[in-house]
Amino acid sequence: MSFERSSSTPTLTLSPAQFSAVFPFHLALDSELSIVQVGPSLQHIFPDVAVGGAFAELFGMRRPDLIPTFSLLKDRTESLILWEHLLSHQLLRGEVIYLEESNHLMLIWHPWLTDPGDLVELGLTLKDFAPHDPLFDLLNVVQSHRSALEDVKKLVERLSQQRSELRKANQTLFEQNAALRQADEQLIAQQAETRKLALIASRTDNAVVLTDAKGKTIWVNEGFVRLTGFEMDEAIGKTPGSLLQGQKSDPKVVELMRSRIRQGKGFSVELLNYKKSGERYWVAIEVQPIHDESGAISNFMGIESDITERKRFEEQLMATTAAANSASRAKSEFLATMSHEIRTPMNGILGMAELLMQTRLGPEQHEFVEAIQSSGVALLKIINDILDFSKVEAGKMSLEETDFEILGLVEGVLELEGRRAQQKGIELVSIIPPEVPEAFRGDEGRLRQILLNLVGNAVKFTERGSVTVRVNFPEQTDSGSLLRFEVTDTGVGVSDEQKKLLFTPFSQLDATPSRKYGGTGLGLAIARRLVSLMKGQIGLESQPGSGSTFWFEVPVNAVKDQPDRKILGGFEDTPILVYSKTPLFTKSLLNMFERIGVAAVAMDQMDQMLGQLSRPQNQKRQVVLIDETPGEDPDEIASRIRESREGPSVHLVLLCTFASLAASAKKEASLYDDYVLKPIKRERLINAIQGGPGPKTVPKSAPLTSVETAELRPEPSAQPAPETSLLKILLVEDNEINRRVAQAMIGKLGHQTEVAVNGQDALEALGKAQYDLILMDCQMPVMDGFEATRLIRSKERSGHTTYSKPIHIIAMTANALARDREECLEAGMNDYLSKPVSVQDLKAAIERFVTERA
Amino acid sequence: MYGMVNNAIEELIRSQFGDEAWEKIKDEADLDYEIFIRNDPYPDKVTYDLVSAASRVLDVPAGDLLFAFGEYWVLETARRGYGDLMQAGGKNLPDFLTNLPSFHTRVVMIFPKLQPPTFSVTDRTDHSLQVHYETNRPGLTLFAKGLLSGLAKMFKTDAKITLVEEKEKGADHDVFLVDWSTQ
Repeated sequence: MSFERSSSTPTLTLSPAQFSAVFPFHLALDSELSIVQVGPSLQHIFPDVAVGGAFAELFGMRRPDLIPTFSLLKDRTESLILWEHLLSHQLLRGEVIYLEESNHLMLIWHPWLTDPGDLVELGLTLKDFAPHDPLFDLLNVVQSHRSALEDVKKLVERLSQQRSELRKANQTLFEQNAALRQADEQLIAQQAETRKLALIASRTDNAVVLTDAKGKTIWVNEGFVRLTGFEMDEAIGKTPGSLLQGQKSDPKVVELMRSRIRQGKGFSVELLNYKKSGERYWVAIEVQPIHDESGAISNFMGIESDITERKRFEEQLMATTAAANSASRAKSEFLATMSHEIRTPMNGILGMAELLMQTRLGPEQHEFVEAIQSSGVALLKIINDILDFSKVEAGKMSLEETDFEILGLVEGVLELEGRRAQQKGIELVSIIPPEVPEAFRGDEGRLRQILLNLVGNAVKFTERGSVTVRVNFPEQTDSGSLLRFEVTDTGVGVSDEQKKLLFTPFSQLDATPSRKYGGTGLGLAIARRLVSLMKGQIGLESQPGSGSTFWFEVPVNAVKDQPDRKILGGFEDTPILVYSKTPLFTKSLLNMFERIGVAAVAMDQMDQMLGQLSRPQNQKRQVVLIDETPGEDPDEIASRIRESREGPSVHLVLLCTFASLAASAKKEASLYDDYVLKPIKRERLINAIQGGPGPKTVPKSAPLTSVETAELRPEPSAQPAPETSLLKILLVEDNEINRRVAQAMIGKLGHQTEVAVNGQDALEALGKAQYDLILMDCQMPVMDGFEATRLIRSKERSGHTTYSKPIHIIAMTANALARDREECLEAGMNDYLSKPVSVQDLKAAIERFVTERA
Repeated sequence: MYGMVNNAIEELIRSQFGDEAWEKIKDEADLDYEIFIRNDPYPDKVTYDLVSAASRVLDVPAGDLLFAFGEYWVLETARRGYGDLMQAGGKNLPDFLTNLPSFHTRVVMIFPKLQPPTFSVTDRTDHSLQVHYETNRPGLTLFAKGLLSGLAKMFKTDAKITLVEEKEKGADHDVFLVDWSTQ
């Protein structure tokens, strides 16, 4: 083989051996594609390739994928061609060189190796490669890269592993940190708590003591030093008790404390202790055991707070309560005593005044006596008010149930307040609708008291106009019925603020020093309590300046057997004509007639009335009720009526006040058939109309100056009525004045009196003489009325008396409390009179006795 | 020294003495390398420190370790990583040893930062030859002897290796006589 060069350069050729060493994988082909030369390394790896072999049977062309021919290959010089050794499938690569001179092809090849393992597979060693051939080195580089890749993989694996371990470590660390932080926080909290406790223990005003398990002090706070006066070094090593307890410390409490300490238990006690100075003080002691980790008691902690002030307050409170109870009892006793002590002289004053009134007196003297009596009555009212109020307050008021007539109740109240109303020029009337039954069952006395109070107030606070009492009784329901009373006035009225004060004890709307209206201010308070006692209600509707309506309603029942009101009439055929210019009065009067089923006609014009009377159909008996009218002379009206009609067919009745009656009396004429005093009472009115009992003529003298005394007016003759003919009465009374009053009253009633000054005296008198009845005072020296009565009854039962029947004993006592009446009856007395006793009361009591005896 | 050397030490320690021993040795040598990149050069000190630490930790003379390491490198590390190429180095021990210089030259060309020792073979006979080992690194004579012993074992040749000239004793370089005459 040779290389030709240009003529200027020397021809450089390689020997066949050199050529084979440089290209150990070469192959030379002739134009028939027969192998003419094989490189040693190529032959080494492909033993089937030898000189003379057919190239196309041994190798195939792969890229480009063509059938190799000589001419094809000849044209493909300088191209890279990929070949395959058909037997081993080993790939080879290389180029084709056309040797023009010999018309041969030279294929310069390399085995195509991509893996160092291929070397071993082909049995190649370093010697098979020309030293310049980098193939071996390329494989070495590939191997290096593989090593590097393995290292990287290993590194990644280690990193992952480490990351995982790190994560675990981090997690552990995090948990440890958290635990550490928590522990830190706990520690900080504990420290804070400890600091706080230490601060509290040292700063608190309470004394704090820490002892060992045996109770010996090991620490005290500043509060302890302040409270007890002992310094810490004085307290340490000693039990707190040995330091602080003393003679007055309760031994039971001390023993309890020791016992609890021995048992290892806590306790709370109150104990009197002693300071270092000897001063005593009260403490509340709270002791708790402190346990160590094993549960054994390591310490006791005691907290002592000074409760001296509280104890002092408690003692004061107890003393105050005791004093209050004592005062309450004293009050009750005082009231009873006062009641008695005042009523006794009042009996004398009122009785004497009453008797004096019935003697001949000059007008001035009469006025003075009247003043004494009215003042006495007023004073008695005040006393009764106070007594009532006290009784209700003390819960001692009890109710009595009796049958009563509503009309009597209302008329009674109106009569009591009538004079005062008339003096002020106020119309005082009642309206009771027909549907309201006549009789009820309830405590009439208390209802009267309440109504009287309301009416009294209305009259008191009304300067002009009227006061109307209305009664209502709505249909009965399942829950019972309410009897309602309304008192309507045209007075000053009450503001909202004032309403709050009403019904409150001792408060009056006019509380100025120069009060216009007197009174205790107890009336409404009593009324409210009484209504409440009856399970009723009380109230008012009012506007300042437009009058007030006070009302109360209480649950009461109507009596089953009602009296027949129609019977009261009995003059249905007699026309009744009412002449009045006062609409309210007229209304009240017509209401009264309506209730008893009598028709009446009202007129307010005289001419009209005269016209009515002159009608032919009215020529039979005619009743005319003439009301007094301001500015008109009733006498003149009466005269004209009389003149207009002949004969007795006109029955004239004057409706007048006491004052005008007195004035009329001065006249000579006897114009009227009868007169009825205002406020009108139904029974009296009917009597007057019927021409029955009652004054037929106006009295000539005018000794009567009050409604009250008018009732007490002695009978024209001082002689006793036939049925109560002369009685022999033993009066037992220690008070001289009251004795004289009673004697005079009995005398007035036409009876005979003998006196005894006490119970003992009375017993002696009974042994000497016979008596019809005894008037017995209750509280007397030597022997009181109760004792005397009991002895009398005892003797009667054993037959040691000079008389056959038990003697009638009437108590006369200044003790107005309800229990006194019971006590009297229990002692054996038959009747009871509360001082001050009026002639009327006494007369009634005697009449009851006479009726009973008959 | 390239990482493959240190890596081989690690593999030897781990396989013969366990992972724990290796960690101890790293601690003892005060080295924090998690792994050694085989194709990356490391300071020679790392290798020396590892060997001396291993000697202390395992209580084995450094020389014995170096020899064992030499054998291990040939039989495990090189053969596993470069087995195919190693085989291409020669079909038997004498051929391989004869090829060794040119083989080593090729390797050196791939690892440009390698400061390689120089191997050369002289006095080849039918049953022996001399291997000249020249290096500027001290103390690796027994490592080189271990390598030769390992090669003998790789080619399953019962060869006696004798250090006939020693640099530490004043010779120009170390010379080993490899004699397989008893084969």
